[in-house]
Amino acid sequence: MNKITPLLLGAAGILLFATLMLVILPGWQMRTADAPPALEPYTVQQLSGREQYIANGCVYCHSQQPRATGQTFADLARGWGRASTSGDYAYDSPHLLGTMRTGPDLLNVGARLPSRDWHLTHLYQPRAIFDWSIMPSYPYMFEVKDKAGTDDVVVKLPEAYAPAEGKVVVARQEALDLVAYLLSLQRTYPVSESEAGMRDRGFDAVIDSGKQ
Amino acid sequence: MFSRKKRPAQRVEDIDPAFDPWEQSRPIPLFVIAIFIALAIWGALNYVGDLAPERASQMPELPVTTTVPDNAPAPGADVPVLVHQGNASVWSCASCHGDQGQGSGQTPKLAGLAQAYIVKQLQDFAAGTRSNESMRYVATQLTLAEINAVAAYYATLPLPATAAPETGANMARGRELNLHGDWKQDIPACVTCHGAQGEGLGTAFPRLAGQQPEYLFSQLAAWKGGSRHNSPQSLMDDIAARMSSADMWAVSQYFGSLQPADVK
Amino acid sequence: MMSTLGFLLAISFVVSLVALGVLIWAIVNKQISAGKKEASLIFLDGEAGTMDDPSSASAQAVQDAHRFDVERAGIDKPGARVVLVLSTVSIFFLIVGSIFGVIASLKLHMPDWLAEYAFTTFGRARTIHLNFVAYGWLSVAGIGVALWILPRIFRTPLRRPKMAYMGGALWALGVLCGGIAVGSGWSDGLEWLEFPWQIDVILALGGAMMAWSAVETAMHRDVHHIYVSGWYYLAGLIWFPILFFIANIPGLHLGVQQATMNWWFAHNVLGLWLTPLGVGTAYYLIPKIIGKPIYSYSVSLLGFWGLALFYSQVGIHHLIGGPVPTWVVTLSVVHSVMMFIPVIAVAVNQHVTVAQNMWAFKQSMALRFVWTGALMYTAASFQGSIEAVRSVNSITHFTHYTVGHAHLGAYAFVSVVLFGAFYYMMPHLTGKRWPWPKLISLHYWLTVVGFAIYFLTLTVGGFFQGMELLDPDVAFADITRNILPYLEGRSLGGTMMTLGHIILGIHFFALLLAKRPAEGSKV
Repeated sequence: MNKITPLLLGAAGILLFATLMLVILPGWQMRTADAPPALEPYTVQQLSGREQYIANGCVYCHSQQPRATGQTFADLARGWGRASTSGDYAYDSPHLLGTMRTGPDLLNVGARLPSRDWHLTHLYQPRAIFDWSIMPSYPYMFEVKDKAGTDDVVVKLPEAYAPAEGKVVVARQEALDLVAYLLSLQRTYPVSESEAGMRDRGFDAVIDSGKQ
Repeated sequence: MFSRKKRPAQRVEDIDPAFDPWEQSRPIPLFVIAIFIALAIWGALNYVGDLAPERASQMPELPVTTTVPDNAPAPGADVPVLVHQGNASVWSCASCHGDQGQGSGQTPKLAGLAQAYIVKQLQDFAAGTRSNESMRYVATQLTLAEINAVAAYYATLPLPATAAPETGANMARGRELNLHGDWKQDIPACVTCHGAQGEGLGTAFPRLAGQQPEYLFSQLAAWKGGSRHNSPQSLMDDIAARMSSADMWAVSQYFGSLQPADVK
Repeated sequence: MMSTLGFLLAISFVVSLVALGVLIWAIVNKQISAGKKEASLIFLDGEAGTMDDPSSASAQAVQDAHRFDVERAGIDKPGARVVLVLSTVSIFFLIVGSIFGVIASLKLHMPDWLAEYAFTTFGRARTIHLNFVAYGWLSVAGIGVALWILPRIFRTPLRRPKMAYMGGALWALGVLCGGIAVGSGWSDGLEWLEFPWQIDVILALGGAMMAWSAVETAMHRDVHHIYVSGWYYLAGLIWFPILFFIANIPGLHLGVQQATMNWWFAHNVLGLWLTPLGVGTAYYLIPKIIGKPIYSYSVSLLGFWGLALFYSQVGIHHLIGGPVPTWVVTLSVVHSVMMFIPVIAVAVNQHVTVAQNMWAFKQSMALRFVWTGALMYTAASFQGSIEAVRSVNSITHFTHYTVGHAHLGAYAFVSVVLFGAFYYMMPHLTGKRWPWPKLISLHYWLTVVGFAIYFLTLTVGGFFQGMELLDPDVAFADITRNILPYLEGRSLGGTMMTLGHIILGIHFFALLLAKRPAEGSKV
């Protein structure tokens, strides 16, 4: 090829065509659907917790997209919830779909583990509960104090992991916000047929509307 | 645009008959062999480490006892503190199992389960014959008196309402397995042990009617996979081993939707 | 709506096939001139037939290299400082980025190590690693090499070197600030797009300045035909800004639509930015070092336009089985498999050229790096095409297998080609020889062995992880226990690779600081 302009125009044109197919058209299809009525927008505290989730890179080990039973029963057997649809992420910005399952899927962790205190223990030291866990511990989201203040939330810890000399571990606001966000992760409401039709059905043995 | 002078193409032998002096002819550098040996040793150590007996867990072992208390607390008695507040190291039961013991998702409904059954499960969590790390954390830090108290409390709770089944649930298959089993695959009918209405029988066979479907499914998978092995005579281990995932899910959803007073 | 979308899906596939058909017809009917004459453009008078590798210390290479190259010296000179600075900056990001990679890897099997330091937590260390090596090492080194090769193939000096210099400085500043932001918890939250968009503005500005310099050089070229490396570099310099701009517009994207945009962006950064940098460089260096033109130049047209047509739409294979419509997933799967065509085209060209001249591979360290990288491109692409098929993806999705594949492409292909380019380019740029040729060999073996360990552990471990993830009866605890030895192996491989980078860095600075040989002596 000998001419710059057709080369660059051709290249740009091909990419813009790809943008149409991969960004614009699916976006139009998904964003013109209404958000599910059962899904509440995040509260201020939950959004703040979501920022903590992003700031600490939780998405690089945890996905938020359970798979359909047409593909595998494993996600359901682990209590990760029904297959998600685009409406479940209607208020998510940025999306946190994730691409790794070094740790379990978290889209329904608020339904599966609804205990705030459990999450605080787990965030402070995952190995206090799961001795095989490789999840990082987050001591910097907590504070070790001599005595808990009136409004302080004390983290429940077994003797092996509690601080020495009767001190207590108190959750900082970041930890409380993050747990509030995790508890908001529940997408257990049923989905409409048209919503269910918009996820990848390529694994379903029989593709008929409504059935998973 | 420019003229290329014709030049005879150089032949391969003319380029450089001698290899570079610093590039030795040894095909595999020594240090590569050294790394290979180091890796082999590391791999061997890994295998040896795996075959060594497992280190004992850090958790204190709860003494296992077979005595079952015969007096349940009267209705209206004090709610144990553990249920709604926990203690310094143990989370409150209600924080996962719900304020009415209704459970959620994979966390089971405790309300209305037989006291002796709950006691046995907590002891099995502590002993490791039933594998759940969060429950093991809890059970190993409770005294026997505390276990009896919370079990008695949940046994007296009224049964909460059950959720409607999901669209697409294979209720027909679930009902079939419950009433008749599937003897082509040696799966007995659930009613044989768990009662005509899934209400459970004695202390060994818990109520299934109205239980959280995802919980039931996860337990069937746990029996099949081996992480739960506390079923009397390995009954559930063998039954689950013969069930397909689709059947497990069908029967779980079926039981999940059964109202307490359902008649078949 | 569904039938419309299905129709559009089919249209996209048909368009690509028709476009390629037109191209093949044009080549066969000599509408486009792409033959040996154009392929030999990289050689000056009398250069063809001579091996050219200043990284080699062989007697012949020393003899050849001192030929006083008036034309090239003049072409290199205005841009030399720009290229040198870009190369130096890229090595800094390579080493720091690699160290963060090792930290992230160690954290996965030593989770309580350094736990109190928030900037080293896995979620931040991994992100700093990815962004530093992608935007700080690969992009900067790639642009530097491109700004050195483009003037050579166009036979004209780099235009606006000061603008390119300023652009490079802005870009480096942007990457550094971005890394600090992520380390302190300020992130935009999307994979490959974590740098806050406010900092991305600096990157965009710097990138635009460097791209303009390249395009203006192209506009003033002194040859009629644009050599194939030029297509790749120039197209990449148009593609990346479009991608970067659309992806980073704040407030425009939301929810799952943002996810499809995310993966359209991330995979096109790999295929329409990093791949052109690597393939374009290999297309220049392989024939130049050997001294013979590329094997089948007209096939390279097929490779280029096939890459553009097919690669641009593969991104959604990252969301197979996910909450996106079936048609867009199938679109990406089909295009991923179609990628076999351009990859085989490039493979034919590059591998046959070297295979017919294996003596050069043995003698030239630079070619050894470049061709190893080119082989890994073929391997990574074949693996990727297979991995995109639904039945395979079901196993590999969400696992460490994908991490191994990603590094096969971004590291074993692009990085290794750029290592080769550095070893070739630096003596030309500085007029000095590499001080310790044994270090080049050491670097090569550390790279090859280290990466082999890295790739094999993650591929095998990830495969088993995927099989277990699909099995409802396997407890998650067992999955984690089973993957641990493989993660430890990956740390070992990664450490060896990082050691290689440090050796490259030491050698690089030794070269920069070495005294230039006296006038008149053989260089």
